Amino acid sequence: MKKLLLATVMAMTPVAAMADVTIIDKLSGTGDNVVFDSQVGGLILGSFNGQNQGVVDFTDLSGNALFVGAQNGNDIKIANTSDLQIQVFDATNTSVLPTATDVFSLKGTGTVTAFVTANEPGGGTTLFTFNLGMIDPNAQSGFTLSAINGETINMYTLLDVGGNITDFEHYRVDVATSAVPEPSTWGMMLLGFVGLAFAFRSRRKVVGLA
Amino acid sequence: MTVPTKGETYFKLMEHLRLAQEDAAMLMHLEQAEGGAAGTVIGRGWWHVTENLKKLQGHITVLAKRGLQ
Repeated sequence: MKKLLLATVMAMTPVAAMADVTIIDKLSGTGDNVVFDSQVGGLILGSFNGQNQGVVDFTDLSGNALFVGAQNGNDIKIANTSDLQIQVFDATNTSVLPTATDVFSLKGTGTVTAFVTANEPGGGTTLFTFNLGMIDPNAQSGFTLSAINGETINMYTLLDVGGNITDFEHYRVDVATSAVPEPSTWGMMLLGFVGLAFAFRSRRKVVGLA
Repeated sequence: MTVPTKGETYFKLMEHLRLAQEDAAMLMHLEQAEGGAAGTVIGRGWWHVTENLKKLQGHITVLAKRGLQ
C-alpha cells in the first residue's frame, strides 16, 4: 500500500523541464548566413558575417565531398558526402563557439541521421540523435536544429546511410550568448571598481577637511 | 513458427547492419566531440568501422541479388 501511495505521489509530482535540443523539418529561425570559402582535402571552410564573426569547419570523413564553387551567397554548396561533421569556431579558428540554432538544407539519396552534442547549462554534455528520414534527390529538405532550455550546440554529425548527400546548403547559424563574461567585460568591471574606490577615497578626504 | 523467406532474412540483416553502422557513427561522433589527439584517433577508428559496415551492406546486397536470381 505504501509503495502504491509513493508511486501515485511520484506520478503526480510535476517533472522539471528537461534540457533539450529539437529539430524541425523546415528552414526557420534567425542567424548569420554562412558562406562556403574553400576546401583543403576533406576539410571545407565557411565563414559567417552579420552579428558575429567566425569560421565553420565542415569535416567530410568519407573523403568524397566536393566544394561547389561560389556563385551567389549561400547557394554555394557541399556535395557528395556521407559523413559530414560541423563545428563552429571563433574568427581566429581556435576556440569553439557554441550555437543556439543551426539551419541547413539537404538534397540526396539515403536516410540521414544527425548526432548532436550539446553543452548543458550546469556543465557536462548530452548526445541527441535525430532521424531525418529519407532525403529527396530532386528537392531541398530544410531542417532547423534548436537548443532550448539553456543548452548550446557544440558539434553535430550528419550520417547518410545507404546513400549520399548531394547538396548541403542554406546554412545559417545563431551563436549562443555566453554565460561567462568576456575578458573585455571583466576589464570594464575592474575599471568600475577602481573608479568607485577612487570616488570613496576623494569623499573621505573632503570629510576630513570639514 | 514460420520460416522467414530469403527476402525477409535479407531485409532483417540489412536493418541490423544499418543500426550497427549508426551505433559506430554515434561513437565516432562522441569521440570527435571529446576532442584532443586521442579522441580524434579513436573517432577515426570508429569511422572505419562505420565504413566497413557500409561496405558489408553493399557486399551482402550483391550476394543477395545473385542468390535471388
